[in-house]
This record gives sequence, structure tokens and C-alpha cells, in this order.
Amino acid sequence: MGNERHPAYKKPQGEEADKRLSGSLEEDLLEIRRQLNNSDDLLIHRHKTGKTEVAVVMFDGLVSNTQVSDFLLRPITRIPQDIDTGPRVYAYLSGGGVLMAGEQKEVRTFGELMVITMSGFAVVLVEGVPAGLALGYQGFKTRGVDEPSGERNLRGSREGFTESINSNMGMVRRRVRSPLLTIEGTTAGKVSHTAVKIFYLRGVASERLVREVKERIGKVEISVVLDSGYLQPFLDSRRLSLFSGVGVTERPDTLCAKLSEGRVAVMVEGTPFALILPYLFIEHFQSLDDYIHRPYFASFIRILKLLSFFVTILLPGYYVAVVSFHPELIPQALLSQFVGSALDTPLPVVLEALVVFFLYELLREAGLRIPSPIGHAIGIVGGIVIGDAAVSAGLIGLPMVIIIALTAVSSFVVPSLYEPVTVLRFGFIVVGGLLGLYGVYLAFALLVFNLCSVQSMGVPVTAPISPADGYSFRDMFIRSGWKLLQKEDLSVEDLPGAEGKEK
Amino acid sequence: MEGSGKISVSQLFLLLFLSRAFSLVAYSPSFQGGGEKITLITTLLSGGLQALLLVAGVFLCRRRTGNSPLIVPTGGPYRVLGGLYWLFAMVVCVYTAVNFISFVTAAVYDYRYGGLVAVTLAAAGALAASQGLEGLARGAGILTVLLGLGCAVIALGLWRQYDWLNFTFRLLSPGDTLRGVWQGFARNGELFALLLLLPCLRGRPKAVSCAVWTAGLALASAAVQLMTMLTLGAYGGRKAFPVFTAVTSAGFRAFQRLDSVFLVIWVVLGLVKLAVFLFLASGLSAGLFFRPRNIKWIWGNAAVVLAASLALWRGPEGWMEGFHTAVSTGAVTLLGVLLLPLWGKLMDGGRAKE
Repeated sequence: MGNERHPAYKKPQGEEADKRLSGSLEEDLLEIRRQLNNSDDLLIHRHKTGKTEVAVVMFDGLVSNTQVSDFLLRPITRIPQDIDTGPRVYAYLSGGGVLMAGEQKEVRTFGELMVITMSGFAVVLVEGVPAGLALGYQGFKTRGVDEPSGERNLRGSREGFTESINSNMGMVRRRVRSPLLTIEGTTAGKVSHTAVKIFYLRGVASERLVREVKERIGKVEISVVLDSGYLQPFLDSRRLSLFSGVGVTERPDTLCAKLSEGRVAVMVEGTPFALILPYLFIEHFQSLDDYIHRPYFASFIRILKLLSFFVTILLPGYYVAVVSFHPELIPQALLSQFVGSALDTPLPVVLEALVVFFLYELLREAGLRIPSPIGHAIGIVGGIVIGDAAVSAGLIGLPMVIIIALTAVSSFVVPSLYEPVTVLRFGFIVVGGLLGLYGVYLAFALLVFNLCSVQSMGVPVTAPISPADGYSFRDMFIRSGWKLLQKEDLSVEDLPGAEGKEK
Repeated sequence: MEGSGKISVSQLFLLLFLSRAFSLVAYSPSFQGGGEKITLITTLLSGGLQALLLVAGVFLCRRRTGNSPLIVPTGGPYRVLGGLYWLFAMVVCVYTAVNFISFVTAAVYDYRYGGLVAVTLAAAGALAASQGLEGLARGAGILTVLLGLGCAVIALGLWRQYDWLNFTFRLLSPGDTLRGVWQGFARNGELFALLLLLPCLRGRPKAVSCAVWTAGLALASAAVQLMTMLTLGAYGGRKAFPVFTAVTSAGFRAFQRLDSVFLVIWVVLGLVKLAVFLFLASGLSAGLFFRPRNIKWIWGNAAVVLAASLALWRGPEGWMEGFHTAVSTGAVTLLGVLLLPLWGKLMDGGRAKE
């Protein structure tokens, strides 16, 4: 099973083959203790009623002690003595009205018992019954609903997803009060058995899309799934690209809007970030605020975001290329400033740009991982002290500082594209420094081809720009008014070039 | 879920329009009626000839299946057919690469950068081709918008340079006119590329749309010639890259110079053309061995293009001239558009009788 060349790496393995509960309480409890290696947080309460013994299995910290005590243990101690056999006790307890719990399920194997108890359920086992009654008394602490830090809006809801998948399901259900909203559950992670929920609107999202999502999640063989990001590569385009065909949101309102366009969302227990499929490239430049603001302002913001994307990836590389290879292209008013600055600094322009951008990313990363007060201090020290000192000392030129500042600000206008933008910026600086404008243009054309080859669940991410769909332009670079948009809903799988469209 | 590999007819037309546009910008439109007999009249007449031959080619390729409409993967003569088409696609690739390197080393960088330009161009062509036909076609859609903007900026920048005194509407002798018309056809490798890519289409191109496409190409070619003629006059006929020379004389307010705008047009068009024909060549070469096209075939063909283009560019001048003359005869295009499809059709007939 292991990797012969790297003994430290082994294929992910699940637990041993699932065994069924035997019905013998002693044997079953022994097996549970054995499988859990007598773990310290395992709680087993045993109670004898008449001739029958009952056990409650749960985990410390996952259940609410008050609820378990009031709604589970107390009723068990009050089982009438005349109910004397195991099956009758089990039937009495599961019959309803005796044990109060929000959720109630039956488990028949040790595997099911393990997963459900680790999800905050208490399982009642009765002597002579080869099944367990699982009751939901989740009592673990979760973070409260808060404003999503990465997707702030000026207007609209302040609610963001939390780490609790149940709470997240509620937030979605509250916004789409329709029986069409379907939430299917599955698990991912051979060891972690992390709960995964698949959201879609029945009849709006195609069966093909839902099936494909489920199949791909089913093929995940990772041991421990801790975040939706673990599943993202399995749902993404198979083509090598810096751009992803999977969208991410922590806003329930955004997720609901996407579901209404025939998409599927995937949520993973323990993370507030939902995945959306398919996801178009143009959607990176759209936000919920667009639909709340007046159309002219929303359109202005979208175009501004698009321009900032091009500025942030191309400007540094273009500057380096022009100053290094094509100074004749610089307008006369700027020629002395640009070329003079390049001549006055010790490093070639390309190295100067790389060093400064490396420093900028270093400071950004350092400020991100440390407590906020220190982060601000690092920003001040890095941005003002080091930056000003470097210019004064003649290590970097003033035009370069302006370019970096402009690029840095632009890169935060579309936060969801920060990762590809950062790498691309470095790439364009390198090709601009090595090959001049020829290299920048060549790399840009390649970038366009690469982006255009990415498909998200059979839908080209560049749709509806290319393949073009004139009708969809009403909500792309510009946003038309609601009076026009209300007439039809977009069905993302029917865009030109999509596989659903072809069939 | 990763794409059907098929594109629409309009996407193919757009992609091949961009590919062809490289030739319009690259090859000197010698409107003086001198050596190459290309004038505004011959350009427009050539559009008509191209439309006729393309419609005939599309007609001959009806009902053909397989990797290409012209090649049925059964071996024998069909392999020869595939081999010839591979050779034609490689000729276009090499011709494109050599023109590209010649321009970049003559107008933008010095001669020393030629090797680096050749290597990066071949690598970029292979990378672009490996994105697949869908990626290329969609990319062409987006790049067309950017190129359209670039052309508009250049046209505006040249506005003040236009001098109608430079305009000549020279009529050639019938023989020279025919030669000029033929040359326009000879350099249009996109005609047989279109036939080879027919199975990658959702739907079939109609005769009318083929005619409109060739008419569009002829008009674009005439527009480029007119622009150069009005800007440079007789001087343009002596320049290797007259369109670039015209652009360098233009200015547009804050931009002052428009060389960079021309360079982006040149680079994008050159890359599109190289990628399209590398895509074709890799599919054809893989088909010769009954293998599916994959990235190794693309990179292998790109390596051949790199070696051949460097040899031609650095080799004796006679090699390049000979290559240029061979392409100008039109044998490649005629064989590719008409004669080989006809041969394929005859072979199909023979096979059906058996």
C-alpha cells in the first residue's frame, strides 16, 4: 500500500471494514472502546432497567450536557419495569414521545455509529437489539453569524456563512423558501468523514451537472478534508491554468442568486466558504452590490474592476519592457523621469521591479498572519519607512514606487483573483525584462488562450464574452435595470459553447 | 465535461480571419503593380477566385468523416494524402515563423535576438496549440476586439498622414492581372485549413458564408493596401514591411508613437496563425501513425518548425528566396483546396464500389 520510493508517504486508508452491531451490549461496547482505543473523550452511560441493560454512547464536548441529562438520561431511568425485554425497551424508546430530540436516526453498523456520535449525536444501545438509536443533542460551540470579511457589501445582508453546516443550510433555506431547493448530503475524507452538502434548485440545475458534481466528490480519496478548498481541484477544470472554474463565496445571498441561475453549490462542514459550479470569469467582476446600486453606477464599478485587473497584471511588466527595451515609446514629457530614474538606480529595471514586488508581497504576507495591531505597524514600517528610505538612498526609483502603489491598490479591487494576478504580475515583469514588449504581448495572448480553454463543468468560463452571446451582455460589463432583468433568469448551462447547449 | 472539441462555423471563420490577417499585415502589399502584381483590383478579383475554389473544396469534402474530412484513417493512399497535408501545414508554419522573426529582428530588436525570438515564438505557438481548438477559437473572439481597437487607433493616428495624391488605381495587363489574382490565392493557406477543420464544426458552412468570408478577407486586404498607399505612396513599395513603416509615421495625441500598437497586432496575429497550423500539423502527423493528437505531437512539430525556420532565416539568402518562390507558385494552396480533395473523393468512390 505504501510508496516504495518514499516510505514516509502512504496511500490514504480508511478504517477497517465496517462491522454490524451484534446485539450483545457487552460485546458492542467492547468493540467501540477497541476501535476508539478507549479514547478519553468517549462517554458511556450504562443503566439497568428491569432485566435489560441500556447504554448511551457519546463524546464529551460534542453534546449538550443539559439536553442529554433532561431529554435522554432522565427518561431512560424512568422506563417502566414491566417493559422487560431488549426489543420492547428499544421499541418504547424509539416509539416517540419518550425521548425528545431534534433529529433521530437508527444506526446498524459501528461505522455509522462512529460518524454520527462524532457529529454530536448520542446513541442509545439496548441489550439484545442489533441497532442503535441516535439522537441529536449537538452542544458544541460555533462561531456566531458575522459579516463575511472577504465579501463586504455597502448595502444588503450582513450575514455570512459560519463553520456550522447546519446553520449554513438554514441561512440558505430562509432565503429560498421553495420545495425546489434540494440539499443532498454526502461525506468526503476517508478518515475524517467530513459532512458535505450539495445545494441546487431541482429543475433549474440540470441532472447532468448534479450527477457530475456528486461523482467527482465521490472520487476524492483524501484522508482528512478540512475545507472546501480540498475538494475544489476535483471539481475544477482539468486543464492546467492559473484560473479556476470554481467560484467561492461566504455569502448566503450570493449563493442563492447563483443557485437560481442553474448552478450547484457545495458546502463542507467546518468552513464558511461554499463552492459554486460552474463559475464564469466575468463573475469575478460582479458583486451583490451591483444589483442593489443604480444600474449606471453598477456598470461603472464593473468596468473599473475590469480595468484594474488589466492594470495590475500588465502595468509593471509594460513599464519594465518600455524602459528596458523601447524608451523611444515613452512620451517626451515623461522620458527624462523614467529613463533618468532607471539610470540613477543600481539595479536593472527588471530586477528593481522584482525586488520591490517581492518585498511588497513579503510585507503583505507578514501583515496577514499576525495580530492586527502589529500588522498595521508592519504596514507603516514597510510602506513608509522602508519605501521612503529606499527611494532616498537611491535603491529604487520614484516611478517604480508609483507603479507598485498603483498595482497594489488595483490588485485588491478584485480580491477573488488575487492569486492568479500576483503570479501573472511577476510573470509579466520577467518576460517584459527579458523580451520587451514582444514578450509581454506574446504572454498576454497566451494568457487569453489559456483562460479561454478553461471549462467549468462543461461551460466555457469566458462565456458569454467568447463564445459571444449578445443577449447576455445586458448583465455583463454593464448592468441593465431590474425592469429588464426580471423578464428572464439566466440559465448558465444554456450559454453558447456549453455542453448542455450542444446536446 | 472538458469540452467537445467542436466550435461553431462563425468561430472558425473568425479564427481563420485572424490567421489570414497576419499575411495581410506581414507580406508587402506591393500596390505599385511591380514584382508581385498585387494591386487593389487583383486583390478584389482574387477574393472572387478564392471564394469559388473554397466553395468547390467544401463541396468535395461533403460527407467526409474521420480526423479530417480529407483523410480517412485506413492507411494506403490516404496516408499519402495526410502526409501531404502535414507538409503543407508545416510549410505555412515555417513561412509564418520566418516572416515573424524577420520583422521582429528588423524593426524591433537587433539581429542577435533572432534565436531567442524564434525559440519563444515556437514555444508560445505550441502552448497556444495545446489549448485546443476551442480555446483558440474563443481566444480569437476576445483578441479580435482588442485588435479592432488597435486598428481603430492606428487608423485614427494615420488620418493626418493620408494624402490622396498618393492614390493610384493602376490597371495591369491581362497576364499580370491574372498573375496578381493567382498570387492572392497562393498565399491563402487558410483555405485548406478551413477544409481540414470542417469535422471540428458544429454544423456545416454554407456556400454563401464561405463567399462572404473570402469577400471580407479581400476587403480587409484592400483596406490595408489603401491605407499604406495613401500614407507612403511609392515609397511604401520599396519597404519590406510597408504597414509598419506607415504606422511609425503616425501619432495619436498622448501616445505620440504607435509602434507598440502595431507590435501587439503583429504578435497576436502571428501567434494565432502559427498556433492554428501547428494544431493542424500535429493532428495530421499523429494521424499518419494512427495515433490521437496529444501534447507530444504538438511540441514535436513545433521543434521541427523552429529548426526549419532558423535554418531558413540564418541560411543563405537563396534558400529563403526559393522557399518564397515555391509558396508563391500556389501549388500548395491549389493542391490543398482542390486537387487533393478531388483525389480523396475519387478514392472514396473507388472504396464504395469495392
